[in-house]
Amino acid sequence: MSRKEKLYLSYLEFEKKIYAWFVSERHRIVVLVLAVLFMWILTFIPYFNLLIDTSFIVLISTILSSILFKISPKKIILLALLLFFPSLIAVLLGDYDVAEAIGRYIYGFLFLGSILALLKNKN
Amino acid sequence: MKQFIGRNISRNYFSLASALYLFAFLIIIWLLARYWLPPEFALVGHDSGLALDAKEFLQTRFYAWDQQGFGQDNSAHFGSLTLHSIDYISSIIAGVPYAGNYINIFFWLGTLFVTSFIFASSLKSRLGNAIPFIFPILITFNFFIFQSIFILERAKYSVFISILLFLTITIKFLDNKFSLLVAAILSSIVLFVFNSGSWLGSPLYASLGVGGGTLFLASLIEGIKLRNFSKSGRLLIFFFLTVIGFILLNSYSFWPYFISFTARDYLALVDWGVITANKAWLESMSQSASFLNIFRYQGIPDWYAGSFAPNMDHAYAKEYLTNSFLIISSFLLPVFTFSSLLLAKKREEKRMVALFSLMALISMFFMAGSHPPLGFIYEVMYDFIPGFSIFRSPYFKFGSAFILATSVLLAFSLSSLIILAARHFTISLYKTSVSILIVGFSLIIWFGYHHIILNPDKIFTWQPGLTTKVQPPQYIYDFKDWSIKENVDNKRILLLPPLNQNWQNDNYKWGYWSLSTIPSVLTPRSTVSNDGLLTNEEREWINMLYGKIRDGDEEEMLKFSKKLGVGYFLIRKDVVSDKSWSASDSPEIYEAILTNLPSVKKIKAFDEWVVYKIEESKTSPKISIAESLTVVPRDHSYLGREFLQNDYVYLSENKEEPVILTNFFSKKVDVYSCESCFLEKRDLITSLPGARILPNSPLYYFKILNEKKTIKGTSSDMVKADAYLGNTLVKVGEVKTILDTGLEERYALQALETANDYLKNYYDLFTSFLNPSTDFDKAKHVLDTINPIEKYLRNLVSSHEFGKQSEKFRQGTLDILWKIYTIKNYINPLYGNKDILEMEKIYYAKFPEPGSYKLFLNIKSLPLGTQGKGVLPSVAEYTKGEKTETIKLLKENDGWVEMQLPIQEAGQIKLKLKFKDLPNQFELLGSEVRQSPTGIRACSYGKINPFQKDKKYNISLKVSKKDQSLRMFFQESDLTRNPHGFIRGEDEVDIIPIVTDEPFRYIYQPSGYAKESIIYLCSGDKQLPVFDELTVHEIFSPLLVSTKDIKKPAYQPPKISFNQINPTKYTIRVEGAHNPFILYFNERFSSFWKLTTTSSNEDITSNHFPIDGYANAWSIDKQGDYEMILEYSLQRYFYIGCVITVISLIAFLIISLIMGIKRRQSV
Repeated sequence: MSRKEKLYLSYLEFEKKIYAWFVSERHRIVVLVLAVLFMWILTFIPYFNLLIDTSFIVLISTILSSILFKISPKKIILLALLLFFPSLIAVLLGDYDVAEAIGRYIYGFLFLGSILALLKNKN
Repeated sequence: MKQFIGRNISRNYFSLASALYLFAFLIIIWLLARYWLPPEFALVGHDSGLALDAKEFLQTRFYAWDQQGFGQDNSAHFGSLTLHSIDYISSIIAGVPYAGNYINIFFWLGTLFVTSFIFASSLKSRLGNAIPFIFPILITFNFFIFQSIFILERAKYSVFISILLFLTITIKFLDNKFSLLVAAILSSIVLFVFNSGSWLGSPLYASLGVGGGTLFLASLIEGIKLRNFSKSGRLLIFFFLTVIGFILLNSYSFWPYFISFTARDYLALVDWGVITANKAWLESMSQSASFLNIFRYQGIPDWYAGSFAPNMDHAYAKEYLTNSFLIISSFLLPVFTFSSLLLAKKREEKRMVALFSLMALISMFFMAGSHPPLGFIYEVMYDFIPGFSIFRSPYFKFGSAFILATSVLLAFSLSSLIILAARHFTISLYKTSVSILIVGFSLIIWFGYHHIILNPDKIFTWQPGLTTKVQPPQYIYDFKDWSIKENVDNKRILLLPPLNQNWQNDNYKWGYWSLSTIPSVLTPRSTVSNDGLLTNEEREWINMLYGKIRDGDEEEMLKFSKKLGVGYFLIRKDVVSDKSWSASDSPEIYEAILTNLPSVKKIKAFDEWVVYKIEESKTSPKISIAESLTVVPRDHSYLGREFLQNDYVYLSENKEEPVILTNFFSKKVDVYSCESCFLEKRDLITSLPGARILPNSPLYYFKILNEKKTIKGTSSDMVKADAYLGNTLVKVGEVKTILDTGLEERYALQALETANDYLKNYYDLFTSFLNPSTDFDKAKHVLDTINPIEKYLRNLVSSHEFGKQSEKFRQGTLDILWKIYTIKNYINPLYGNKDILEMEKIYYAKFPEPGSYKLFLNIKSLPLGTQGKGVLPSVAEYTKGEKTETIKLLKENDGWVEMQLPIQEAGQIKLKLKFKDLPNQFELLGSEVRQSPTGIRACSYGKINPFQKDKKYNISLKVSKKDQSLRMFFQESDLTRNPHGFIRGEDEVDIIPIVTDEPFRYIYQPSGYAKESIIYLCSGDKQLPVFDELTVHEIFSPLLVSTKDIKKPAYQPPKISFNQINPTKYTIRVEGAHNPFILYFNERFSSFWKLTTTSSNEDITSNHFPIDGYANAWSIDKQGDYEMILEYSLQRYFYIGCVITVISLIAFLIISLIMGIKRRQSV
């Protein structure tokens, strides 16, 4: 089997896995999508949009995802730590507002990760 | 690694390593402290509170009253006895008198280091044996600690130490190594020894709250998981017992402050005005405290000049905020810190790391204060939780918990790194070497990043050229010794030259700069200056005395010195007087004046400090008899100083005065405000209020409910009318917002309808209480409210949009405008003619009884003429009933003109001051063509002459040529402030509409920094503006005062002698009291000063009142010869508190001892 064929097969394998994951998690995905859509709609409604903005949706979606898909706190923490690098670049480029916005997500993810770490720590 | 160390290092070896480690680092800290601050240098100044004589200062802390200035309550500061005792002990060891010595630095950093080692040791079983050796370094050497090293912020270090020890005890308690009682006793003792100093430093306990709160939260989370909350319950009981123990042990400081707090400070704490005023401070403290900055151990308020820009005046902020290498390093810190969450492998490790991570993140929420995104929650807490407003500097108050938690995480990450590296080696020697290498390398990086804190020139510098590290000269100590030895009767020593009026700071050529004057932190004797500790009244008195000295007016100077209890002058020739930003006047001026005054003698010179003494007979003792009183309205207390003879000022509150006092009244001063002047002021409301809740909101129902409730809850027609008028404004504001946001018209119609109803109801009511010929102030209030409504609706009607609205809407709008027209028509007699308002000032004076009244007109309140002198009224008319007469203006004296009153009867009179000759203050200078952002403009320009920045001006422009576009610019600063050449003014106004039959009017208010004002009247093209007349008149409201001399019965005052026991206690001997008398005590007024009999300890009188606006006085009816005790009652609570503290301490020690013995026996 040529290298190309091997690559193609592994791609098919990967595609199958993704598909299988989508099938097995379809209800959860629908719930998540619906929840995000619902929150997004709320941003158009007066008075509700005072509270709900993009960062709020991202935070709630992350919390929801971590609960729905049982994402381990470590992955959330890792994501938070990785976000320090784009924020560093933003600071070095002098784009402080972007860096600060990323900092808020880092805070939210770390908070979520820490709470989950405490909750999921087996006694 | 834990196992590895556990296997290879015995417990004894660990103890030995710990002892060696601590010893080595204490030596390093000692050497660093000496390097930073060699023994001949002192840390003093700024707001350090570091005394120049630690012993003398410590002694003052034992009393609830501090005699500095005019005296002040000291009850909040008893807790600082521990800190100041350490100051004193350190000064003894260092062999210097001052508290800011290297031993003190060593003590606090060393103690912090040792206690952090103790804390980290309590975690080693969970997080590894390396933790105790890494954690103390991280805790001790960081910017949070060193940010305040220049003032050696002992209270912060002390609370930090107590947090470390408290958490150690809590962890041991949760591990069952301490019983509940022992743990509570130990933590109480820790908080007793390491307190926040003064109770004013109690916000520093915020970090302790976050630490304890996080532990409790974690126990709750665990409780939820295990469905067992016994741990949380135990923790709660432990906290409760600790608080009880804390209060018992700190009784010596708690009770005196508690009493004064409930009587006084609590009101300030919940006062909405104070909270709002401090909000700006909260916002400035939080402006750079973003989560990202805090993650990077930055966001320290002092470092920034804005949200991101570095503060260029900071000694090293710029370096850390702009150097790319240091920026990258600052990002590695949080990455490495929070990596601990990934590196934790074992259950206990994970639990502890998650706990400290949570603690760090919770403290970050608080540290960020009002900074977005969660700042709004902090603001809500700040506004609505009673007492939360004490946390107005959140970064500093909550920072300790963050530093503690992140240091644990960072130490754990480092420890884990050691494990990972050591895993690759099998030989234990290699493992140890690798561990040491990693620790060593990490420390090099840590100190490399914080290299600046090793530089003494940087860490003690707080402004370019200003440092707290100075060498105090010997002569100041010579002065201190003299003041204690010679000034035995404790006469006040007035500092000369006065402090800089703007900064109120004391600044010396040898480097001292502080808001606390040197003598006040050096000698226990009372020194006084115009420093920031004075109340407004005291400041006015002192400034007047300074003024009299400057004028060389000996008689007046002696009068004021006597009144203020000043016996000496201290001229300090070493003050900075070079006209720099915080410099004082030149001392030479004052020396020359004092040398020429016969009643003042130079008695001692201490190198640069020279003492002058006022002749003994021309000074007054601290306690004396007040023989007569001048009565002045409380809100015009300054008149007491203006009309002062040789008596005292009694501030009246418009209520019936006690008869015993009225016998001492010798003069009564009353003030009359210019009624018509109200209508000359600018409209208070310039635009309609925006509506936040609109009719389409689910909350609108509650808004309507609230409106109805407001109207229903009114007590009188006047208040009800006021509510209708206010609600009309709100409703029209609602209409505006509805139209602006494009909501459906039906909502606007609904609001218009309600506004019409409200206005109708108002009209029905207001004619019953508003007299259209006399009620100027009420008319002004009406105009303030209806003018913005009228302005908006007129613009709306003249817009194209109005035609597109429905008929109903248009009709509703016109209805409101018509009602406004009728209301204005009703009050038109009062405000219709603006020229008359400008030229004629109307007063209504009420004389309650017949008497010899005199009327005075304040010249300073009159407009300046071209010669720079006040313009007097050309005619003054007096009307009583139907009779009108002209009043003569008599002589001018000390800034007042007396007016001859024709009648001296009781009743109300009307006074009219007519100013016919008001000069036009506009001086035309020329014309020029100027470039503006909208094109070329030809301008005529001139200046306001004479000009005063604190006045308002009425600008009146007559134009008969209509077809021109005119704009007026008020330029107050030179063109250098303007980066481009465009014409620009601090204030600008378009002359719209141009009408020929009446002048365009505008009220111009200069800005606070204006030095002059040039008015440019510009056209919109190259043609010069055509105008008939431009006049500028100062808007003024002349101050009119009446005085009435009162004949008081003759009486013989008793003889008084007194003896001062200590700053809080005096014994007073009264001889020959045959009549009631007034006892005068020249210290700041406080209701805690009590006058009691020596025999029964009962209050001699309940009539204790302020006199001269600041001092104490009592009216006493007791006759004969007797002794009294004058005592500051909070001192008693200190003594009682001391007893409780000592008993509690002994009891706690005995309980701990017994429990320790029992525990040992059971083991």
